[in-house]
Amino acid sequence: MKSYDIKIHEAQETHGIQRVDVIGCLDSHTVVSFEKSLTELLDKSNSDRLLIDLSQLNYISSAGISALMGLTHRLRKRGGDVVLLKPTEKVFRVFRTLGFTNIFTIAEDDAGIQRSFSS
Amino acid sequence: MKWILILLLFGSCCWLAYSWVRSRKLLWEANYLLHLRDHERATVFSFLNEIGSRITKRLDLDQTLEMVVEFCCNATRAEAGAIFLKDKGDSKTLHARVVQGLFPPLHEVTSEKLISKRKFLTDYVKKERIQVGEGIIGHVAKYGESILIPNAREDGRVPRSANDLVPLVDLILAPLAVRGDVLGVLVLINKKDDSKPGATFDGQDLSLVTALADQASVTLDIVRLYEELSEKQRLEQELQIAHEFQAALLPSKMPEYPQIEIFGMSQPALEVGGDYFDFIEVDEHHLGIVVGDVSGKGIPGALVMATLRATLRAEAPGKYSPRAVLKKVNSQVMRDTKESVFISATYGILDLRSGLFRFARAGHEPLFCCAEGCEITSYEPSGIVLGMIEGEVFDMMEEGEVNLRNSGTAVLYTDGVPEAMNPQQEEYGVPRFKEMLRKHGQTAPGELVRTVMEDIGVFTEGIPQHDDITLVVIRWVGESQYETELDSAKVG
Repeated sequence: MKSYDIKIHEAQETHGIQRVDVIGCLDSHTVVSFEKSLTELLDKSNSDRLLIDLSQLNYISSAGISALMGLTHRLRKRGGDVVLLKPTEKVFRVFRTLGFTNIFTIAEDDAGIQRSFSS
Repeated sequence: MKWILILLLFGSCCWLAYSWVRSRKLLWEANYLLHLRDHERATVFSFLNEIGSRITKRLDLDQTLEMVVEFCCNATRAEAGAIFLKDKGDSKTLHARVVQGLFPPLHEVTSEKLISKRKFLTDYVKKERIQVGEGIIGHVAKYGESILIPNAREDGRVPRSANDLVPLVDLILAPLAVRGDVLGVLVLINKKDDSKPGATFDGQDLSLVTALADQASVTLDIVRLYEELSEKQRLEQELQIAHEFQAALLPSKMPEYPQIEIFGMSQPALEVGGDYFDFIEVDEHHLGIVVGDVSGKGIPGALVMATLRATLRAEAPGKYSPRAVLKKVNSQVMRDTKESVFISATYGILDLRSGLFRFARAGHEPLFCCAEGCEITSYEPSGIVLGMIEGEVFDMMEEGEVNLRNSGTAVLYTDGVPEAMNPQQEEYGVPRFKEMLRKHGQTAPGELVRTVMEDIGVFTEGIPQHDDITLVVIRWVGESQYETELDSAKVG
């Protein structure tokens, strides 16, 4: 079984941005737990700006991308957005193949995060 | 001499006038045929929307069948219609599951009671059992062919007793079949179009009903399978149903052309992954080839796949730009699916005369080509997945083209190939896949596909995979009819 973990940085809700680290592998098995955690988080949080750090995500399947897309739709409807931070080369290649680099907001550093949320 | 010139001038004028009239007539006929095709396509679309919205609300066999008959009666202006299904546990007999309007038994009936009381007609038709092969309904169930009977009174296949009960004018019968297995028969009787008195069912109606029956069959198959299970079994067997449904959507045989060899295979995963491939005749000289991967799993994923299949089959004929076809499919998928479900797909059109393969990639894996003795070439024109976004971003999709005469073999695949995993959590990977294509790219497509599948099996040590693995290989094999025609033209 592939490893999976999610870290929700409760304390780091700064500038109205909720930060989450996703570690390991996001596929059809782990995506259920990922969606559950994020739904709970968004239900209790007032923030509609979500930063997902993907620098430790080794693998993402189409189920994982569906989940990210669902989150993005949900927050954009509320006037917010999801910014994906530093995806690994492999994950970025998946985004590029599927054409998601045109849909997701992707940032490479802190300056990029601020730019992405303010744009 | 003068008279000869006058005669020649007159002859030329007559010929010009005749040519003009003939060309106008041909143009009018071509426009008319295009209009009819558009009409048929629009009707099939609206049918799909209707059936899609019904089954999303509730998977109920009788309601679905009622909807199918009602829709087909309205679309063809039939007075009555019925669907006969094969009996559970006995595939040799059929019975009418749904009857709408005044519908007579379509085999010889001698019952005086029945003839005298029309109100028992529907009950009678529903109770009777028809053997596969018996009468015209049994014939359609046996051979899986649609039948048009434009003049029922003079057709020996229609029993006289049927006419005594309900005066029959014309009939259309179409099989409801999945992968060559006939599930039942759709029958429509008596066209009554108030705007065209005296009109009877024609070839266009037959073509439309056959298309509608084809689309309805896949849905009926899944609804029927679903209904046969109890609630507990439903949960347990949902994956199994989705597997069967998915298998039903894949082509049962490979297309056959003298100038190409083609082979596709999809190896289902432990869970249902949603891989799909299909071959569609665009016209007699063009073959459409699609490979796709639906992000949703289980039955919802299989239903999205059904939408993709139906939309492509409706859109592809007569269209030569893969990008334009994918654009239409995208709009349909956007309407029919949840916002987080998407499909990656590559759709290409192969010109069977020139060998040119033009394709567009909706966020799918690249196309690989292996020419004799050469490296593998990868083609990755830009394009976004289907079902996510419409408008400018989607329209940036590019088309690529490759001539299979020069490139030999084209390989389409899904991400299940490079992402197949062994017990050590290592991926099969693109480099190993390319190496296999380099080594075996010149073998027949069927052999190449099986060799790669076997190599994946060796790599993964046979452990169950979490994603489907699909490969489609097309190979240009020789002198085409087109080349022969060109050569003859040159000689001539």
